[in-house]
Amino acid sequence: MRVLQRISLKLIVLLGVLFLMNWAYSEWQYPEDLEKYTPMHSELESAQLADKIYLGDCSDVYCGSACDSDTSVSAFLKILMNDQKIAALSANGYQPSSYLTLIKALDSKVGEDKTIILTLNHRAFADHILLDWYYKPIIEQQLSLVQTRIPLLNRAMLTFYDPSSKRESLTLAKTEQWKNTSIEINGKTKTIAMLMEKAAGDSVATSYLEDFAFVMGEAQREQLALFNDIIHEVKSRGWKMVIHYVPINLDGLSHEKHSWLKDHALEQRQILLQHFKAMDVQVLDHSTLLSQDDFLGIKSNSHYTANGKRKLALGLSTALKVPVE
Amino acid sequence: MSESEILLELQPIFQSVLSNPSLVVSTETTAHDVDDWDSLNHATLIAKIQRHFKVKFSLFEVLKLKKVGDIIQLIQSSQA
Amino acid sequence: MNPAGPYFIGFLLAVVLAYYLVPNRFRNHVISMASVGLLAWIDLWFAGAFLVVTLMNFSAAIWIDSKHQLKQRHQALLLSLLGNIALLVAIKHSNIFHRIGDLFSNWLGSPNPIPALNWILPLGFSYYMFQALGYQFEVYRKSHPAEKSLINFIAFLGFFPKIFAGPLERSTGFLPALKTPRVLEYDNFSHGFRLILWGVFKFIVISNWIGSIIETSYIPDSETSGLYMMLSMVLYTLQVYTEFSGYTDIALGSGRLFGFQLTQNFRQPFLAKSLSDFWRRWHISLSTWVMDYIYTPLSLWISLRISPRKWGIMASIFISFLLLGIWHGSSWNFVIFGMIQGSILAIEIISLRSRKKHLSNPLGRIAGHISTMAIFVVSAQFFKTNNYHETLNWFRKALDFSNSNSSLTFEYNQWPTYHLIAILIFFVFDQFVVRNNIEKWLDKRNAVLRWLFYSLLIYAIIAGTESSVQPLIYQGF
Repeated sequence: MRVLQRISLKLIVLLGVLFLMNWAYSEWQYPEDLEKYTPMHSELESAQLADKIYLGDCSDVYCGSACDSDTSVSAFLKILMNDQKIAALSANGYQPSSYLTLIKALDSKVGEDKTIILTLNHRAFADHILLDWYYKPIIEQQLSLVQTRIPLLNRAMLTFYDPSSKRESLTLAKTEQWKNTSIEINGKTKTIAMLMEKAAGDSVATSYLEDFAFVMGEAQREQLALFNDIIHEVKSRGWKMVIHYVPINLDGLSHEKHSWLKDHALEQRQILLQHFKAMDVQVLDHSTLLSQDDFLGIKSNSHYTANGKRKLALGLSTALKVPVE
Repeated sequence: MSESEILLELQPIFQSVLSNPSLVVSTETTAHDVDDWDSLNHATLIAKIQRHFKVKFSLFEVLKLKKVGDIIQLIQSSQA
Repeated sequence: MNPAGPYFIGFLLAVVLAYYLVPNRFRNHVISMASVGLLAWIDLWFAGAFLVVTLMNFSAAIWIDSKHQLKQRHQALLLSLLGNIALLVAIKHSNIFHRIGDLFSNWLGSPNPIPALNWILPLGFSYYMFQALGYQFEVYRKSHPAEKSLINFIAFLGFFPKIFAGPLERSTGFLPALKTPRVLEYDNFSHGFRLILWGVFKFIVISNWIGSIIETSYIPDSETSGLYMMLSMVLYTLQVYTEFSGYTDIALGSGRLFGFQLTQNFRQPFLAKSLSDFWRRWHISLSTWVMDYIYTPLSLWISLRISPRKWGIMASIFISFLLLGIWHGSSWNFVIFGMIQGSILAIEIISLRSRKKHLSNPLGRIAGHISTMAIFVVSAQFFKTNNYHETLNWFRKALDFSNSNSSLTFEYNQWPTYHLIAILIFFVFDQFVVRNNIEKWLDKRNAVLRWLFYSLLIYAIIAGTESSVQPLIYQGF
């Protein structure tokens, strides 16, 4: 018994030490660490004061090869709605898990009137993107410092985050899971592996298969559950929610190597639209808005030209009910 | 031979191999207690002891030796 | 799994809790189940390989012990050793034949007919395999009878705190400890946690800080000056030490929580005056294992048969340390490492008398320290990669003084400078003050100082580095 008493006493002292340590860390080192390890923290600070927050991924900000303007959709939106405070929390590689962490990192005040514009990217349901081993671990580690309300705990999560093992497990899972997925095509069952074999050598055909040949399986339902969590979180704060369904390159889906893919993708699209309708949220459906000319490059992507981004921003500003200049 | 007789005859062997004319070993002396009693000298000691007492030790027996007293016991059992 | 990470520590605490909740007679069961369970959780293959080695050695020892005639025991031991060595070669060195085939095929200009086997080395394999071999030897020479309880034997071979990177425990010490009842003692907890904390600090903080200073030097074609490369090499050696000794402290501390005193693996290695002295201070459990089970029998056997005896001794030490090198891995780098150690140790044995004269004066001692460290720094570079061409490139870089205008300089107000100063302070503190015995040092301090020390370490661990993650250098063996 005496041993247990001594151990308990030491544990209490330890808790006290950790409490003081957390205070010291928050005062002196936390702001510096945020600058160093969490590149999105300044955007979070802007979002705190904004009326509307755009949560986006590469569909918002991508400007790689063939890009004709580095103004993002959210930046165009800010120009169109310049009497409103609009903030963007967007980066290449963001997924629903990232958006959820970002929203939870925002403080909410009673009676606040905020609108969250959440990107719904059809490609984010593809198995290989769900199991993204490149961006996901990096973003997760960057968001460690805003995960909870205890700065020292967040710092511990940053220190002990292991991106390499995450990468390894995600890569393994990716390889095994998605190539075995079965799809019904004209009454025949094929696996993704078989379809990829048929399209081998044709990188364009392959890219569309990789991105759109998924069916709403368990992994996709988990991704949808994250959207549900986001909607729930936003509603519980009394904020408004708009789902922005970004464009799908339907022209690209009609490739001769897989003519069935367009119908298949539109079927999955219907499932998604019905899901969000049932969740009672406003959906701004731009998924069929743009043509091939508004996309950058011919392989499957959700990267738009300046013209394409402007069209999206216009559609958004109309839907958000602000007069267009 | 008795323990004390063997111990007496071991002294000059140790003194010569370990180059220490004033060295005196007892039954409890181990390699750790004596400077220069390293593996090279240990092998030389064993060879000279075998030659002097006209006995032959097996590797198994040699590996079990921990102190001078063990060497004496081994010599006694080999002579028996 | 990172032995300094929260998952391992969490697992450890859960097992310790279960351990003290059950009656004494079931405590070894808890250890065995936890150890096999951990291996299986990481990879079923690891658990499978461990159980094969365990069952094989468990039965073999009982078989050896059943033989009463020396010759029969001899034969039984030989068979058991052959079985173990065959397994060791098959699993760990399966590519040694492929590599030998490569040498011939390069020379002959024809394809290598021996296929490469890409077996993943089971975690802790080299460690528990050597422990099993030592156990067979001790049963053979009747140091103790063969263990009849499979649970105890699993606990001895696979005790999970030491599965990652040792220490190598002897059956003569650990098996009796497993049979002694253990009670919940405050000292065990206190000392155990101190060791773990200190180990985690070395492993995560110091090792990481060193890594951030030296990583660019080792990138091929990097613009590193010769001087910086040399500094990086020295720091790398220190990194191997902090990681390995840090891990060992975690293992020792974890062992204390269960009431065991595991073998200390380090004793101020940077104070060594010769390479022989160094190996009495570095990875002590492995070097003493090699000395007791390979070098001593081999040297006695050879030197009693060939003359002059010194050649036998030299050959024995060379072979023993070559094997020690190969124990780490069968790539040429480890072979070279072993050869360097073996050659220099052989020379040291022969020159002991003359060196003693020099070591008795201060200048001689300093020269001894510096030369020993230089040898170890050079040979440690062979640990950094499997490719000896890369290692040789690093040496070329280190000796290239033409690139003195490298942009990699230390600025007084930059973090690498602060880290370097902290590393030097740590090194002096660790080797000269703590002397690889943190428990003893902390015992002599008052409670306030102790808690200040703990707080500093905990803060540094949580908030002092970017990431705790880096591959454990000694875990791959």
